[in-house]
Amino acid sequence: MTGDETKSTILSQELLLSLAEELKLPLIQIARRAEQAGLSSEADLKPIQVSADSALRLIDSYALGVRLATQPENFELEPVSISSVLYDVGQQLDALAKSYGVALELNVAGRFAPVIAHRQGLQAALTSLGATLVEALPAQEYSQLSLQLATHRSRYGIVAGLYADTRQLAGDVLKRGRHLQRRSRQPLVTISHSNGAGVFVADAILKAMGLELITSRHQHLHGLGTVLKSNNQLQLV
Amino acid sequence: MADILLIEPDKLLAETYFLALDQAGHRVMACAGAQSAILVADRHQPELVILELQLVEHSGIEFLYEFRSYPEWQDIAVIVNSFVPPSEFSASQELLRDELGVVAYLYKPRASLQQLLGTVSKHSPVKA
Amino acid sequence: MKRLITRGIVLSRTEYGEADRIVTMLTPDQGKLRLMVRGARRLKSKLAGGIELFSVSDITFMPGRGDMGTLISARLSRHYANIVKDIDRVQLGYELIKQLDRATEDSPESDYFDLLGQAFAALDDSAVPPELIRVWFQAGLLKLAGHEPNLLTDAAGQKLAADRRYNFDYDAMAFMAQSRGGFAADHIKFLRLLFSGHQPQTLTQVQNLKTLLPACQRLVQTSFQLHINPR
Repeated sequence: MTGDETKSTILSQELLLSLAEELKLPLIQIARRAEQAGLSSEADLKPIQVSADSALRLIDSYALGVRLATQPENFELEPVSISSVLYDVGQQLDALAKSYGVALELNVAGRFAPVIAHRQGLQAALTSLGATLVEALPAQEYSQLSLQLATHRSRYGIVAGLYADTRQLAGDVLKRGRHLQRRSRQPLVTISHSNGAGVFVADAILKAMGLELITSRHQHLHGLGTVLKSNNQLQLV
Repeated sequence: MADILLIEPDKLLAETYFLALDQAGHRVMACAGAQSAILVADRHQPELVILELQLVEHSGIEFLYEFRSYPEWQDIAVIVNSFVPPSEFSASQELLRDELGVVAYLYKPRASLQQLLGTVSKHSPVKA
Repeated sequence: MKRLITRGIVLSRTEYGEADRIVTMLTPDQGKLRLMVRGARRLKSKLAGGIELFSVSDITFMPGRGDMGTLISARLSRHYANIVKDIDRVQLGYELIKQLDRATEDSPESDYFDLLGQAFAALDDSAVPPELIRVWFQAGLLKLAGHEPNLLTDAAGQKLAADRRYNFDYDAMAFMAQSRGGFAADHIKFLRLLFSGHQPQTLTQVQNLKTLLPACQRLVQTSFQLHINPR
């Protein structure tokens, strides 16, 4: 993908509109929860904090994506342990997942060589993806409320992704979603009740780093993730 | 006070609406999607429905057409409380109102809890 | 007992009694059929189960004594599955079904069946904007009802000119020359395409579609409300 194409994805009006629409959800959650607290003299502000943090993460991820695409010279690549990235993603999503009643499981068994990547970008993309899936799982009737953060080897490299026991994440859901992004209110309607901006922000961040968001399988689970090439030279260090 | 079927896919919002309606004295059955809403309605016979149109897989519109195809549910008031701006249905407001029995359309970004509670009160069945 | 075979598009479904369902279907050769579907109503366990909406089905039915027949079998021939995945398209789909149902008596010609089938095909295609499908469909209903606007000459009988502007006279269903009129040559060309029977998928290729559509939508919609859907 050329630099211009990368920029056009993250800077596209569709993604910006998608982001704006998506931010309505956490802001409405905050507004209504605050109103409810006022009506009932309730003191629990934790749900408000969770929503606010979720909104901030999404905006921050988007901004990082823009900077990655428009100022790539400012970002250094480094050896990154995928396991530790997934661990940090899990930490970031913990409070949100608890609020939504979704169990997060880390599955990084096996030794994987470090990859050369932009750690912050990778973490932001996977967190953005994870947040959308955490919010979407309870809305998908009859899905298990469990999200696995996992990594495994494939013939193309090391796959890092988020997986769930739902067929909704299988097949051409991503291809259809990208095609419908400009044309439908809910381009990922089989996965999410929202416009899925978190998935498209992750898509754009990964593109800016020369990576790709893909559908993937991990054991019997379906999910979304990215493929990273391990660096054998680093293994020798 | 009414038996309300709340169809809201976002868990956090559903909890907030549930608390507000419960505190106002209503009995609330909450569902995340269209299919479970049909099953719950069949079991518990709601007196009023609050419906988000943007659901996963099956939309609120599909739910409404299925819901209204059952004679015993044709007179139950439905309040739409949705992310979809009402202006996007301007050509179909008549359809929503006359064919699907939508008594009120609330746009989530602008509708406060007080407004929702007021609308529910207005359209709740009067009990002896 | 006489059994007839045809194709049908569901216009409405109503649950009836403990176990049955009544469907009204639009067919190309039998007009509108009201059919009892026995035993269709099991647990309320499936949305749009059985006879699917936004589909064309091959059906076998027994005509009844009154206006109600009995459905013997139905096999899905074409199901436009993408429509229900998009909230705007499913709402428009229902709206078009209602408009056609209201605009027709019991024995509409086969053209109405074709119009609705083509509308579903367009709705199923994400590349065709819903607002284009709506105006195309209403134009189709106007034409079938004999209320097509005059797109060749103006209200005074003069040939429509490429360098003039016009407003539209809804009583005469024709254009009137007006120096600051809201319609120019491109609008009229687009309206000719709209009323010519081209499918909506073809109309997406029209240049400046987004600019031309609003004024043409207003013309068609107002004509529709005046002549087809009187309040």
